[in-house]
Amino acid sequence: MKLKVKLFATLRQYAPAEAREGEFALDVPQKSVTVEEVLRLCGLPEHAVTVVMVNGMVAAANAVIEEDAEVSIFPPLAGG
Amino acid sequence: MGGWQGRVLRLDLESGEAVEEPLPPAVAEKFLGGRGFGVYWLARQPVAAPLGPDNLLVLAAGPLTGTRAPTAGRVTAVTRSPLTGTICDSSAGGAFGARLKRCGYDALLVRGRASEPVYLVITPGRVEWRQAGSLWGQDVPAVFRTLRPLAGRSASILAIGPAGENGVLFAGAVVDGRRHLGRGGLGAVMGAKRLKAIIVAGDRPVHLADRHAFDFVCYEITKLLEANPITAQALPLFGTAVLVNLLNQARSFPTCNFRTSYFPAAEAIAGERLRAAFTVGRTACYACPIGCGRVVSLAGSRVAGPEYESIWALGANLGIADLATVIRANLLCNRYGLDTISTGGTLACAMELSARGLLPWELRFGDGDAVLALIPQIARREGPGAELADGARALAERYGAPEVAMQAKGLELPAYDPRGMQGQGLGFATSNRGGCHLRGNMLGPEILGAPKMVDRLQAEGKAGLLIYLQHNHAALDSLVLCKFTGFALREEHYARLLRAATGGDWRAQDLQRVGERIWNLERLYNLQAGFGPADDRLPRRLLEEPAEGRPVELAAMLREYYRFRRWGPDGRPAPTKLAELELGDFL
Ligand code: SF4
Repeated sequence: MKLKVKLFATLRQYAPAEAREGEFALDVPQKSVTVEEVLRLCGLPEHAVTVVMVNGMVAAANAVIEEDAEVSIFPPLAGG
Repeated sequence: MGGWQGRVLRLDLESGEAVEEPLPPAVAEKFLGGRGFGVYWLARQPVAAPLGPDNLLVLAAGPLTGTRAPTAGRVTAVTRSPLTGTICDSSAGGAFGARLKRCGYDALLVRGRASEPVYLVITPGRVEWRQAGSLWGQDVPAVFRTLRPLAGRSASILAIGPAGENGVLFAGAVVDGRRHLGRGGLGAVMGAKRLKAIIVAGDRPVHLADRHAFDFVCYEITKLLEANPITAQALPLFGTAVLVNLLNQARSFPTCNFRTSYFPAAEAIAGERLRAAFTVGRTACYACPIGCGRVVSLAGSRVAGPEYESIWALGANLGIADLATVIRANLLCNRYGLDTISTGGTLACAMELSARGLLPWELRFGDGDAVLALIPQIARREGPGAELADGARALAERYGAPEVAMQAKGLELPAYDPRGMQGQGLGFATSNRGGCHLRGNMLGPEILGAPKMVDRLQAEGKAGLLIYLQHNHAALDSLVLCKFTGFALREEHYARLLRAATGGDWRAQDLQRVGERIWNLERLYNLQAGFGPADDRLPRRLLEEPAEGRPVELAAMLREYYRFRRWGPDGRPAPTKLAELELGDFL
C-alpha cells in the first residue's frame, strides 16, 4: 500500500532526494503498518522524532496506519 | 537579601517628582518581581481609567534580572489595559530589565501625565526629564537612531512609536529596537502619559547570596539548554515559526478569522520556508543561549524577521500566503509600534465583515497590498484606520456583528484554534488579560506531549493542568525569565537559582504558590474593574462550529476550573482561599 509521508523541520534532511518540502510517497510492502515501522522504513532515528500525526491526529508508536493515510512526522520543537 | 536591589523608583509625570522607596522584603518574597510586583502595586490603588493620569504603569525586573542567569535581561510591564479594561502584563526581551536593576531599582512606578511630551534618562540615583521635542511623532527606527548614540553602551531603551502617541488601543512599546511589549495597549498608556521613551543606564552590581552556588546552577542550566533539542536546535534554527506546520497539521491553525482551522498554503509561510528563503542570521536577548530571533533578507536589506504569532496573524488569519508580504507587514507593525496579533485579528475581523457585506468599505481576505496600506493608517488613525485602531471588538460592535470579533475580554485571540485544543480554549477564556496563550500554554500537553500527551479534543481533565501552567507562567513572568527556558528546565531549576541568588529556602512548590497568589490577585483586580463570570467566555463560533476539530466545551471546563480554584459561582475566590494565599489585605 501507499502512504503520504511529510517530514518537518530538522527531519527534512532524511527525506529522499525527490521529496518536495519534505513530502513523499512511501510504498509499504505489507497491507498494514504501524507508526514505529514507518519511522524505520523512512530511516528516521527514534530519538529524533517526538510527534507523529496520522491524518492530523497524534498517533502512538504502535498505532496501525491505513492505506492512503497522511503521516506527518516532527522532531522535538516548540515556540509560542 | 540577595537578588533584589531593595529599591523602587516612583515617578510622577505631572509634578516631575522622582521618589525612591525601599522595596518591602515581604512584598519581594510574596510577589517575586515583574508581573507579581505589577499586580501588587496596581491592586493597592483604586482602579483607574486606562488612559487617564491615575493609571499606574509598572515596569519591573525580578530577583534574577541583571545576573548571568540565562534570559535574565527581560522586563515586565503591568498596567490597566485600554483595549480590555483588565489588568495587563506584558514581558519583553532585550536588556531593559537588566539595566533597570543595574541602576539599583527593582521597579519603576509611573503615574500622571506630562504637560508636554518627555523622555526620561535614568541612571543610578538620578532621573533626567527631557523634552521629547521632535522625537514625538517619529517612528520606532528613527527614535532608536536618535536615542542610541545619546544613551551610551551600558544603556537600554524602551520607546513607543506613532501608534502609541495616537492612542491606538493595541499599540505596544519597543525595547532596544527589536523586542516588544506587545499585547494589551501598553504603548497607548505611555502615549496618554506623553512619555515617548525611557533610557536606563547603569552598571551597579546585583548582589547574590551565594555567588559560587549561583554560578554553578547557571553553568548546569546553560548545559541543559544547550543539550535540549528544542532550545539548542529547533528554536535557534527555525525560530518560533517552526510551529506553523505543526499547528496546521494538527488542524489547530486558525485561518481567515477562525473560519477554518487549516490553512492549505501553510508551507509557504512556515518556519522551514522562512529559513530556506529569507533567514540570514539570528538574534538573542540579553544572556540568552537560545537566540530565537530572526534576521531576514528582504530586497537586499537585513531586517528583523517575524515570529510565529506574527506570521499567523498577518498571514494565515488574513488568508495571505506570501511570506515577503507577511515580513513587510510585520516590519510595518514594528515601525509604528503596533501589536501584530491584535493588528492581524482586527484586520481579519474587518475582512469577514466586508465579506458579509457589513463594512461600508471593501477589504478582501488575501489582499496583501491592502493590508500593507492599512497598517500605517491604523497607526495614524487615518481613514479606515481610525475605526480599526480600537480593535476587533469595537469594530464588530460598530457594524452590528459582535460575534465576528475573535477575542476574549477584548483581546484578539492568538494562533491556536481551541477547537483542536480544548484546554487552550479554557486558557483563552480564563486569562486575566484576555485572549492569550502565554498565561498557561497548553501547547505542551495538547500538541507536543510535554510533559505528557493528553487528548487535545477532550475537555475533561484540562482544568487542573491549565491551572498548574497558569501558576508556572505567572512565576516565570515574575522571576522574570523567558518562558522558552521551560522547554528544557523544570521548576526545581528556577528554585535553585532563587535559593542561590536570594539566600531564601525556595522550592518548586513555592513558585506554584507565588503563581497562584498572583493569579488570584489579578482576578480580584478584574472583579473590582467590573469583570465577572460572564466575561470568562469565547466567541460563539468556537462554541458552535467544529471547524476541523470540535466545538469548545467551555461550560463544563469552566465548572471544573472554578471548583479547582475554589472560586464561587460569582467568580470570586473564596475568602478561605485568599487567606491561604495571604491576600486577606486585598479583600
Ligand atoms: S528564547 Fe528568544 S525570546 Fe526568549 S530570551 Fe532567548 S531570544 Fe529572547
